[in-house]
Amino acid sequence: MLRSLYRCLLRLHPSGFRRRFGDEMLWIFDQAVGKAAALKLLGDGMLSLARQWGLRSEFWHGISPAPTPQPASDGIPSFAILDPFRPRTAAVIHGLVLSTAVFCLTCFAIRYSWIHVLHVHIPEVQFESPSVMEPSTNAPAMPEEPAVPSRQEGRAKNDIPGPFGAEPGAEDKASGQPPVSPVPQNKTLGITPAPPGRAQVAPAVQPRSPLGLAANPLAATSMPQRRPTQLLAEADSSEAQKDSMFSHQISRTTIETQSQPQTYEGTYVVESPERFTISITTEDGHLVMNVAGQPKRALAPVSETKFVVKGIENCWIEFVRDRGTDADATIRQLRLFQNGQQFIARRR
Amino acid sequence: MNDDATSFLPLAPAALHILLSLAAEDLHGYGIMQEVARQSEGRYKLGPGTLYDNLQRLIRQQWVEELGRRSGDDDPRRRYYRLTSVGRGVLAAETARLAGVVREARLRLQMTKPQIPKPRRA
Repeated sequence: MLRSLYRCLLRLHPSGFRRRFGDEMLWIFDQAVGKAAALKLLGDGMLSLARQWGLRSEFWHGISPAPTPQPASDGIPSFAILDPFRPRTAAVIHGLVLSTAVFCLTCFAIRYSWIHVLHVHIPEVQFESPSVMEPSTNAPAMPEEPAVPSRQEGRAKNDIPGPFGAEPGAEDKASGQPPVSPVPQNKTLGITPAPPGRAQVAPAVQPRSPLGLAANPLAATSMPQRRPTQLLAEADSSEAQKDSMFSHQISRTTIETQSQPQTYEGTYVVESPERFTISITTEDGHLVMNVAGQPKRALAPVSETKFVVKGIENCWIEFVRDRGTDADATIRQLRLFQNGQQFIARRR
Repeated sequence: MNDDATSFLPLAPAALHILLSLAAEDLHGYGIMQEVARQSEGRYKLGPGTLYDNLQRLIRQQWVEELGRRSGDDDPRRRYYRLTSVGRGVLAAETARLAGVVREARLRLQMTKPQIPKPRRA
């Protein structure tokens, strides 16, 4: 019984050690007289097993003689190569623990760093097939080009303090433009500055809704002042000037997806502790969002059910249909996403 | 050679006893165990695990070489081991080091030996 156990112990040893010394160790066990001596050898075998696996990794596959330094002949130095090296198990475990700790520390630093150098905002955009991209004269035009906030616009908004977006005139300050100009500043974005009188009357800081949406009179007042045909023409001319194929595709996608904006119209009630109402209406064939106590916001579609709220950074709206993706289903819900928060509003 | 040998000193007790047991003649593993027990008067006993762990390191360092099985031996599982010239040099260096330690220890012990007062004459 003890002999079988000892043999099992020997079999568990590394192959190199077992092949070389296993028979001899078993022979020594056979020489032991008495149960006490056998038990002592059994304990010794267990220690040997732990030692060979834990501390003698270089002998796992047999004994290779250590390299001997070759003597230099005639003053010419000789070189020797290193023997096959296997790191010790303890060293591998230490390395694993250290690597994991460094990785976790790096992830923690990225997540909680006060220097947000890695903040990347990637808007969700769906591209249509080339056939859909073709200009359509029947499609209604947009009062503003419904592009996702471009790089220039995004850079200007990133400079704006506050978590929820634009302060009045901040875009113009960031771009180095005077806050109000009678001439359209950015045709690609479709932003039309407000008349000087209205812009001056606007307060420096607009009141915030329960959502904290900062008012942007620039975007709010510019919407209804353009004719659709004029805006479409401006969009076409700007596309010719810009190398931005991206904005071109977005604008066409917008025209296609907003073919029936009336289906989204209605009043939606947010059932959060700060209960408020969101009205979705159509002006000049395009969707406009109105929150009580705030100016109207144009909605720029990026897909059939998702819209960007123009004038507010990181603010999206998604309409939820009654039966999932069924296009004919009634819209029952609206989800407002803003800076990582989500508000669900049910249609009244 | 002596300079190389001293870089390995001091030897572990098990390695010293194994080298010492092989200094006189070639022995197999069990013979080494018996010889170590005899040298230390039974105070130091090597188990097979410790013995072969040390033997594989001594073989790798080429202080000990394996002779294999001897013809006419009663058990074919026994393998014999021999001390190499390198191993002998290391053993000599270690013995010299230990001799110096013993000499120094004796000197110190004599210096601190308590003086026995001479008996006074009546």
